[in-house]
Amino acid sequence: MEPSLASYLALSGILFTIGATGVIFKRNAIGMFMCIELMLNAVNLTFVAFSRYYGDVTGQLFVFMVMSVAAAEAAVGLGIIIAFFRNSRSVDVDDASILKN
Amino acid sequence: MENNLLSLIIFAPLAGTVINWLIGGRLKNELFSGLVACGTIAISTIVAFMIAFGIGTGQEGALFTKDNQPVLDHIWTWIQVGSFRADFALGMDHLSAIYALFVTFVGLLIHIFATGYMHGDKGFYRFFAYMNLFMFSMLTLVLADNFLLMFVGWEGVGLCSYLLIGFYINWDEARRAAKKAFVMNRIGDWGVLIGIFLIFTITGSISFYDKGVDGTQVQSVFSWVQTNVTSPEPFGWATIFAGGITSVALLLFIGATGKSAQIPLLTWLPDAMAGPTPVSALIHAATMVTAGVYMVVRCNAIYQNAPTAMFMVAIIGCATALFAATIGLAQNDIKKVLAYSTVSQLGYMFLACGVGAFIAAIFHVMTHAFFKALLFLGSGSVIHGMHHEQDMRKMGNLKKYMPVTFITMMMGWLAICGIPIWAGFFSKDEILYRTFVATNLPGPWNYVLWGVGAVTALLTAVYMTRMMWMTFFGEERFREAVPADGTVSLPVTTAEAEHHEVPKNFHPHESSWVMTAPLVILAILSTVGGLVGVPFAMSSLIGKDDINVFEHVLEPVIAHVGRSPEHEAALPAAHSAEKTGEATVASKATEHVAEVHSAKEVTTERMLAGLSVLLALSGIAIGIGLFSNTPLRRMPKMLVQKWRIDELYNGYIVDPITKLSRDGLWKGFDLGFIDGIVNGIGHFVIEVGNLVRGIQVGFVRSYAAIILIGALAVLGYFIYYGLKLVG
Repeated sequence: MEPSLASYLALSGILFTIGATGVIFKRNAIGMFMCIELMLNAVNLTFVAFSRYYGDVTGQLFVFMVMSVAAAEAAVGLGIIIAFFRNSRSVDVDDASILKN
Repeated sequence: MENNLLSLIIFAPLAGTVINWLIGGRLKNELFSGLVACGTIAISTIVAFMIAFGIGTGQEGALFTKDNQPVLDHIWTWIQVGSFRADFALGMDHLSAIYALFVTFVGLLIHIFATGYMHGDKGFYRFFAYMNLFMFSMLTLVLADNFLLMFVGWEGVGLCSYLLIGFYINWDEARRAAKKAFVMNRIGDWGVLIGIFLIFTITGSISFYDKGVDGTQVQSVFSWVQTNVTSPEPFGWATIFAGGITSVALLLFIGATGKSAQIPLLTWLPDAMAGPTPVSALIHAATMVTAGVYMVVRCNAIYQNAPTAMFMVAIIGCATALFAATIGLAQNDIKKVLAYSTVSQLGYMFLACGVGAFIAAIFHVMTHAFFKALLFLGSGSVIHGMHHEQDMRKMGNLKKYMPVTFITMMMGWLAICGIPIWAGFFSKDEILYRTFVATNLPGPWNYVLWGVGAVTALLTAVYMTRMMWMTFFGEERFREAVPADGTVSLPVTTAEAEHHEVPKNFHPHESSWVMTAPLVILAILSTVGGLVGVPFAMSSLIGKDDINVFEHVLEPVIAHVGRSPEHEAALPAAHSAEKTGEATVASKATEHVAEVHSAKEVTTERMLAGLSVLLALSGIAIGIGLFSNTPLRRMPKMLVQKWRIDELYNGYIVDPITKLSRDGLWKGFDLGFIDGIVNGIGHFVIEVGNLVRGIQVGFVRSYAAIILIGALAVLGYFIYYGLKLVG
């Protein structure tokens, strides 16, 4: 028996929430990135679940888009983190507070 | 008729101004500036005489046209909107011609005098530029053919008065006096403007003459009034604010009080003596101050339909005459005496207008121009000869040192006191006679006003005698210290005596011919100038029946208003009888100038004339009696302090307004409210910015959180409305 759509969506929602919480609360920049990837993958799961449920392949197509964007974004983001690290010798996001006041 | 030469009369002085301002200032050559200034006025004078008398123009002289047909000159269509038409156009009718003649001629003499008087002054070119500008404005005023252009001239003379009174720009008192003159004039200007507006509203026109322009016919204000106002407005307080003819008359009169220094706007004229003496002679004696009288006489059709207004004019004129005469009695500065004398004589002119004797008013304007200009120029010669000393207490026995000035001023003195045959006698006597027989004043007022006028004539003789005695007779007091008696007199200032200090052993000297020649000419005019207006009552004494040329010339200017039918029927008979020289039945209408002379009227006039002469002689006798032995006699303190009218005005009007303006309007409203709003907006923006700044603290994770919350909000919106859609 296949799981119902609701369970897939629930799983996806939980993964997304965990990812969102992680983005807000993690201080390590790499950790924030991993949570962002988690959010993206949760969204992918949602798309695929809908695609399978409605028999429409558009969902799976969109997953490709999301994945490529995720990859590019990871590349750029890691580049920014490396530049930031070279400047302040730290990957703690709280140290990027030059704009304060 | 058209005559394009008319515009030359006003544009020559204007050219003089421009030349003196632009070129004279560079050259700084007194001869050049003086020649340009006097030359342009001479051109104006010659052209004025040509057009007025019809010499060399091929046309009838403007003074002698039938029915007061004016000589017109349409220069330019200035404003033409709907039915409102104001042209830059000149018109010389009998009244304007008389004014133009004496304004240009006396102006020319004063300009010549001024070249001598202002010698050595650094602002020589500036002085003559302003003087020429003044002549331009004044001639525009008298030659304008509509109210608006007249008002342009009116304002122009006010401006030039300001410029010329404040000519000594470094002298504080002169600056204050100039400001005072201008502000008081401005208050009068309000009256004139509103009056003009009301005239247009009531009559639909502002032109003085009926004329055809650009194919359209323009009706004059006065012919409208003649045809449409069938009977004079009733006599009473209600008409003053009713917005009709009486209101117009009173509004215009307010302007006249401002320009001609009557109560309540009179205090600027004595202060205006801070200007150079030729200015006082030209502007504040002969010309500008008579502009008010000109306007009233020009609008005589309006005034004759407004008996309330005429009554007020008469009362104010008479009161001013007395008031100023009393003050003139106690002044020690020679120019102040003459200034108050001017105010007093102007009061006579308005008294004449108020009783309907418009022609007498203009006659007095003309004779007054002659003798007052003479007196002022004479005093200028005295001041010049005394090295710019103006206090009469330091003069005395000047007849020894300045004979020409002395003799000419004696002529002026005789004229103003009203001794026959000098000019002042005929004009002043005419005014007093007409006041006595006036019928448009209620109750016994005509006798009251005559009485006050007679007392004023007496006082005139007294103070003028005092002035002449203190200046020309008695002991020499040049080297004595002035007694300290707390008087408020004009001190010698460094500005006026800017060329030299008084040397220790100085003698007053007679002035040069440039200054004495105009005096001589004016003295001749003061002596014989009155003979053009000898009334029938006098001339019949020597067998000549009707030599009152002046009256004949001005007859058509005066509107005929409100005559009773039986009088109308009697009139043709009266005319033919007059031609044969017989006396006819007198008519008791208000002054109307087809004079019919009854035996009773003639007797009254002769008696009153005799009384006037007696008053003048007794005034002179009183003056000599009081002042010959004690020229420095102390006058009552109240008179010396000018009835404290300046203090009154300053205390109750000027200071409260200044205080209100400074503390209330400037500090309170402008700085506090308006600047408060503008600055407040600025502060508000800064405060909001400070508030909003608190969001961006540099805490990166908060940014992420805010993004998330925003996303959730948008999501929530879609879920909510999606659910509602699905049901």
